[in-house]
Amino acid sequence: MAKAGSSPGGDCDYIFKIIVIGDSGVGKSSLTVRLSEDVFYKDYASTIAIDFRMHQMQYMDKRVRLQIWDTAGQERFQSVATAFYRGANGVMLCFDLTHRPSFQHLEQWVERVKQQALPGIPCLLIGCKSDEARDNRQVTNDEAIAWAKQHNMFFIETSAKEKENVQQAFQQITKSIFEDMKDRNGKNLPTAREGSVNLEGQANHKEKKSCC
Amino acid sequence: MHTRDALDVQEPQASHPHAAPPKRAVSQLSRRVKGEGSVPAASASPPPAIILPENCQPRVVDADIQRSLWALFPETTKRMEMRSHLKNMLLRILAHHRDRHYYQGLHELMGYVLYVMAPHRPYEDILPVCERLLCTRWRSFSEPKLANSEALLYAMHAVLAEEDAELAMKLEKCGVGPETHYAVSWVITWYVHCIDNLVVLGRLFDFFIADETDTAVVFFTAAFVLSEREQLLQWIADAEAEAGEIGDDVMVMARVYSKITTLPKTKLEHQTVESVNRLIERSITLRRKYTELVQLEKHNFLDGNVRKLGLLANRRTRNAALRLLWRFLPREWRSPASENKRRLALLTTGIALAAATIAITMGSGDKGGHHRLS
Repeated sequence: MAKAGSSPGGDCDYIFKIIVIGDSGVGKSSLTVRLSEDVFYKDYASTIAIDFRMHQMQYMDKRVRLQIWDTAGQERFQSVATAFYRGANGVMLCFDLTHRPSFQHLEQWVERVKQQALPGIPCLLIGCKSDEARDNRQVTNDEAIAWAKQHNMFFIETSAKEKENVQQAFQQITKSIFEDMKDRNGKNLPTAREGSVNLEGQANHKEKKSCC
Repeated sequence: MHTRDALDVQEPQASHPHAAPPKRAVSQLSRRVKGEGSVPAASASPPPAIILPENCQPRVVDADIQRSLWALFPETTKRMEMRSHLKNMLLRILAHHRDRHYYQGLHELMGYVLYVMAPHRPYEDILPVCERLLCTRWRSFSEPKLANSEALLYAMHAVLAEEDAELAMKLEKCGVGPETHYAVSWVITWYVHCIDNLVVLGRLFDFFIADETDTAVVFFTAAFVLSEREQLLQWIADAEAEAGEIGDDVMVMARVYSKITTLPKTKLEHQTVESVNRLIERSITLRRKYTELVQLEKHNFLDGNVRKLGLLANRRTRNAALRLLWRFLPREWRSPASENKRRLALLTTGIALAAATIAITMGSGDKGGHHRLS
């Protein structure tokens, strides 16, 4: 279960809501649990509907609290996830480096993001299970980068098991969200929480970007 | 651990909901299972590929099976053997019942039945039990769409609203209504997904199986949430107090949601059989009072008559909300005259007062006019 509420309130400058999506079994929950609890459970069960996790982090001189909504991969639960797309600030799009179909299904996932989330919402492509990919890689780094570039997002390979690039992935999506805010506001990063991302996803989003 | 390369089934090429029954898939799967008594499937020679109908969702089943039965079968060899049985059981039943659809959580329900029955009955006897449960008690969960399961959550919330309007309204106000699906994994897995206490699970299964409808879990969930009333209200108050510092409603929702979803693990998991029995007794009381309501709410939701918004969008919960507001009115306002005589007297007095007011107003108006004219 998620270890929610890792920090008391009033101690953050920004709150970002992040949705983690992708096929069943690609490693979404392992990734988010590694971030929020710093553990790797080999006996983790399938996510049903949606799970919530929280993580407090530092980005440059800002204290950022990430609300992470970890969704189930099965199609039938996407109606549940849809409610959580609203007001999201970033999307982590996951696939399994050792399972090519999960890479091939990315187009369907990105299409869903286009339909449900804020136009131009920052996305990050994550290739999970880089440890297993050493012996059983089914998606090359080059083709994943090419796909990410085509969809205007960054790509990062992670291993929740070996704690590889997990923090970096969440740092990257946080950075993308800040840059998105900067683009939309047309000015430098706000310094106070009043100028933070609108959590309802209503204000400060007049522009539309082609990103996912 | 076997990888997905070991998959012995193929995904359907296209959606064919009305295609011919998959006799070939069933018979081949049956043959394979019979040969698995002594040799686990993972070590057997790969059988020919089989096309399974879409309702089986073999790719999702495979991903779920690889993450199943950890707690029930801690010994690796046994767990692998049971996973093989579980997968074959799921696919055989679903291939045979194409109107039933695999959902994440069904593997946990069948896994628990397998765990309970395996020491006493041969595998071939367990399969028809799961098949029967799928077609009866788990029917709402395994419909093509999630809506039938969602309808149960809305029905459960309606029971909450009838029994404890304040709690229902506070949950909705902080954004944790039925639309968040906070209880979906409890309901559609009969709590197998949420708790490891096998004694509690056994008692719950007895209660849910004995119920002739599929709504016992709805009433139990309502009873369970109601029993945690004080804890829930405290969590909501704490989250609102915290949000008060940073002014963030979304944070309140996230805080309460993260707490409420842990309720089975933090509370139900540690209950004694006696306390579970008390919850079941309360569930039975709720069932006696609200059977019609639950059926009505289910149909309302499925017919699209309940907007996924909240308390005031729903007639039953709206009534509960209004009742709550009623309680805040001054006592004398809340006590309408019960006797006809008193009602008549009040009406007469009201009419007399209104008539007097009109007469005085008209009189003063005439005087004013007269003054102006003069």
